[in-house]
Amino acid sequence: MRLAIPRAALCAAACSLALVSTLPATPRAASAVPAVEMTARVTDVGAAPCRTLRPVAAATATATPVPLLRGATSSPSQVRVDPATRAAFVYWAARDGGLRVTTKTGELDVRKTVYLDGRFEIVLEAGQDRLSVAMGPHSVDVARGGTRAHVEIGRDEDDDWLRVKQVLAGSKALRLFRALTAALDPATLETVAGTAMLSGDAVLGYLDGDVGAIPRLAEHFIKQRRAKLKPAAFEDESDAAEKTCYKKYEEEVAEAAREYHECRRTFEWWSGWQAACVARWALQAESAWFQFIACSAVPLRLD
Amino acid sequence: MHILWYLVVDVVIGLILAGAVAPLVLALLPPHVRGSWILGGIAIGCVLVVSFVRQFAIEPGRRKEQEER
Repeated sequence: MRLAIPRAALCAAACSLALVSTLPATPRAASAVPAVEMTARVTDVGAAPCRTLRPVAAATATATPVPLLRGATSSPSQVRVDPATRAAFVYWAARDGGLRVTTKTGELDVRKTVYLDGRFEIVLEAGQDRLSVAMGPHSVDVARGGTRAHVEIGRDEDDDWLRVKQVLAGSKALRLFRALTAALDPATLETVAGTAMLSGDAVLGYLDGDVGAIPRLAEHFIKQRRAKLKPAAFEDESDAAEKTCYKKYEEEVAEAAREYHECRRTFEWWSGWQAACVARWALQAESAWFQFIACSAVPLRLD
Repeated sequence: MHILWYLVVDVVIGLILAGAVAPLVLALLPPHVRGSWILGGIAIGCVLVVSFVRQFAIEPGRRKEQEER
């Protein structure tokens, strides 16, 4: 279960990262590019959620501009209004190199920033309740009010995750955020903003104890992108099971030869360790050979 | 009884030798020729080589030694 956390982090960042890499890195560059042109560039990525971006001019005609949260560093680049909740999502390339998405509906303020290295940060505010979750490939930091929880992924224990859950418990901002995500229009979920909210919801849900949140998100993403997947090579378990004895032998011998070549390059030609390389290769080759004989022999039942 | 013992020794040594020779032979052969039947041929060949070496190179010397004693 713990292994799902880094996967969740990567999953959550995946679509947004694709967008970050296409947006101008600096706000000056962002403002220099016309909105419609930027939209076209974003759709070139081919990601399904990025298809329904509207040009700024069209979006602002229907959307009420929302005040940006603290820490906003550059002017908004894109706006998306959700028809179901009337929430306006604003996103732009921040000065620190990340892609930032913000929205405000009623009491709830949401700010999510995704970085190229896979880190992301979600800040939720609802009245006096302020919840901050920062997650990267190696750690998770959760802060709410005066309480904090830090988890080092890889050296984590069950108590660490329980502490995270305790910090999240009773958060009004989290409840409103999850309610907002659940109420979003299906069309919005296919946009960058919708994907950002959906992935954030899955990660926060997982941290809050909803262990099925990540698999549900994965299924959603797979359904969205299935039409665009083109398998270049396919080898399933049944193929592996049908490998002939000779095929297995050939693979093992090839691997032994590759390791021998690497071993020879590791030591100088006059070194006595060259003999060890030969000995290792001989052992591997013999092992593969006797496995081949055992595999090819008539199977004996020893009940 | 001696013949059976020699046969077992020839087969064991021949198979061990074949384990080292087979990858080298496969590497020398073009890909379309490689196959499990080549490995079978190498195994039989190595057993025969060991057997011939024992019979015609080692045995005469041993017999001579025994006769001299």
